[in-house]
Amino acid sequence: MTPSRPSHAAHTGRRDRLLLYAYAATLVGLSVLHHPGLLAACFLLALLAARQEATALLRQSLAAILALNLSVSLGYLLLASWQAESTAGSARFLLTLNLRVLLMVFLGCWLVRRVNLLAALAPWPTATLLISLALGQIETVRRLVADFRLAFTSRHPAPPRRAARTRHAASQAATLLDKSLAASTEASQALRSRGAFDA
Amino acid sequence: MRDRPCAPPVLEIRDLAYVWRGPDGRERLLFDGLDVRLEAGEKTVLLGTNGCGKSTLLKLMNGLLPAHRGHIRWRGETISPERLRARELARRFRRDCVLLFQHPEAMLFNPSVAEEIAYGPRLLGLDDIPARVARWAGALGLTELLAAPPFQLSGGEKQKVALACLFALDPGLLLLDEPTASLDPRSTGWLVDTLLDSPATALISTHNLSLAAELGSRALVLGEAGRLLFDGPLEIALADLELLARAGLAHRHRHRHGNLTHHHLHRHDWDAP
Amino acid sequence: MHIPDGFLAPQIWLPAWGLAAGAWTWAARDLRRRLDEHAVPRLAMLTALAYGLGLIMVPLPGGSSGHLLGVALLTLLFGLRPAFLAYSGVLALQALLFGAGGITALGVNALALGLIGGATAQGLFRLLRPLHEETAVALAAWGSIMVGALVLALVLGAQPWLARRADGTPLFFPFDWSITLPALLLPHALIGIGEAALTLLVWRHARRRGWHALPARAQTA
Repeated sequence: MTPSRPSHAAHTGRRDRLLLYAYAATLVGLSVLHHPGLLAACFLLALLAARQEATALLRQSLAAILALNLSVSLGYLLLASWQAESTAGSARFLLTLNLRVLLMVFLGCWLVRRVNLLAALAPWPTATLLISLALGQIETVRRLVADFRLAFTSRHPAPPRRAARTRHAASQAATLLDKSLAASTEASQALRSRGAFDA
Repeated sequence: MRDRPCAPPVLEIRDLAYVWRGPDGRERLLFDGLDVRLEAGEKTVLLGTNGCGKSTLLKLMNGLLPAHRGHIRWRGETISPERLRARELARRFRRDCVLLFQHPEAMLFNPSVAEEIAYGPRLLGLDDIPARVARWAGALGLTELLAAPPFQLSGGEKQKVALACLFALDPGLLLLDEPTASLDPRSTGWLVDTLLDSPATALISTHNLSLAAELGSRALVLGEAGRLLFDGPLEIALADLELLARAGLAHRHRHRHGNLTHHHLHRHDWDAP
Repeated sequence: MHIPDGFLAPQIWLPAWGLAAGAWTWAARDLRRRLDEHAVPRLAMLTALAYGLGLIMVPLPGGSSGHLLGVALLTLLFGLRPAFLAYSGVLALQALLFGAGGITALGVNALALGLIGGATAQGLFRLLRPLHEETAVALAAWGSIMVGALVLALVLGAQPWLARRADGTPLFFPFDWSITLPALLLPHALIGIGEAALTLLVWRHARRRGWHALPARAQTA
């Protein structure tokens, strides 16, 4: 993003934008693809394309969907056996649903690793500014919430009561409110001071 | 060690390493193989620049973060978040070993200053709670604020309330993370006196060198990635400008003596923000 | 509580994206007109705040705990449109930056929880405030959770008859309303209590800070 290398920034951004569009198109495509064999083939293709990252991405995606997909699948099996649905039909449905969900999540995780969202948004300076500011503040917020949790543990020689946990949650929310109001004023002042509104 | 030669150290760290994970998922190894012992009653200053891992080390010592490698022993017992799930150990440890957070607002969640100070003693079922609250509120100049909600206070006042919460438990091991960062000179003086008069063991992190000189007798100096650069008498550490420079606590810059301008190593003793 | 990728038919998630895009334009245009140069930093901080509120664990009746949603709180303090934008921003960042997925369902989630949930909170609050302000805050928060969950249950339960094969087997989420309604509404009746308690406590804090002026200003335009 340095002024001396504008062509490089634009080029990187274009690649990131193209990946984003491709991701969106793939999601639409996967939503109208109902053949388990074709979905499995797509999944294999994605695994091969991800090469050395495939294992890590697969582990991450499985962890993300396991609880919900397992309970939906088991629930469906129970209901299907109750209603005496055909086994082939049930198996086809379970394969379709789980492969589709897994593939969508897998692609999402891959995208997060590959695409620089800020670079992709380069043609929209307001969106870029908005996201940069938000991400900076989110980091502060994460650290604050983590510290709140540790401090709560540190101050408890005995397990906390529910009332204390509620007060603690409220105190975190109130502190976050105070901080973000102050940060919002600071950020506009800093932007004004750096001439962001004079261009 | 002086009075009970057989007693284990108050805190002992062996071969400690911690994997710090950044917001982008990037990992960094801190303290690669740190060994530290804190003996009873000792006041030790933990020196290092921002980001060298001082706060992380204090949280590890307080049993809040899991070590990647090595042991932390408190009075001979191994401490980790896992082991502190045992209520009996947690009860003894959390009463004895207390941590003042760098941002004390994270510690405060009760509706008034009085209830905030009384919270810990009440949880432990101690009996003289009003007296404890009055004593520590008085000592820190908080008496006027006892009814106020902690979130309405200034940064310095919050730091005092958090200190009062810790002292109200009569802890034996104080871990203080930048305890004077937003205290006024009077409260800083009070803290120095209270610590020096107290029989408790204390580890105080700071990058304020003049405060360090008053607070302790021993220094631990951390450098890049939390590596231990020095462990020994404080006055030797403070006089060693090369050491302080390696730790990022002293630096070389243009300097003026009368009409002469030259470069040499230099330490600044003001409180950095 | 939001719908992940892969459970919704495109007949639902594509139009929902379109609707949400319209709603975002409406909300953003209004925000820009009123808050001029402060709009962007303010929205950024609100987004971070909405993200942070979602990290807070709320103790629930019965000993468990859940994440705070915070839409009602943000709506009551800052107005419906900024709250809706901030919550949508959190969903987008989670899908595109933090790897939590949910980009296809983003429209449905933003509309159900952010817009409809927020509007419920605002409506209940305005309706009940003359009777008793604190009750109004608590019911607004509880109601926003319940209505949000109701919309999600309706959308999920509609999938089996919206998209199925010739033999009747479903293509996406397989359960109909007889299952989705109780499965979502019953637990959220409890989750809503935690949300209401917390919203009320923070509302009191905001009152003491003198922020009760905020929603008035946000609602005038």
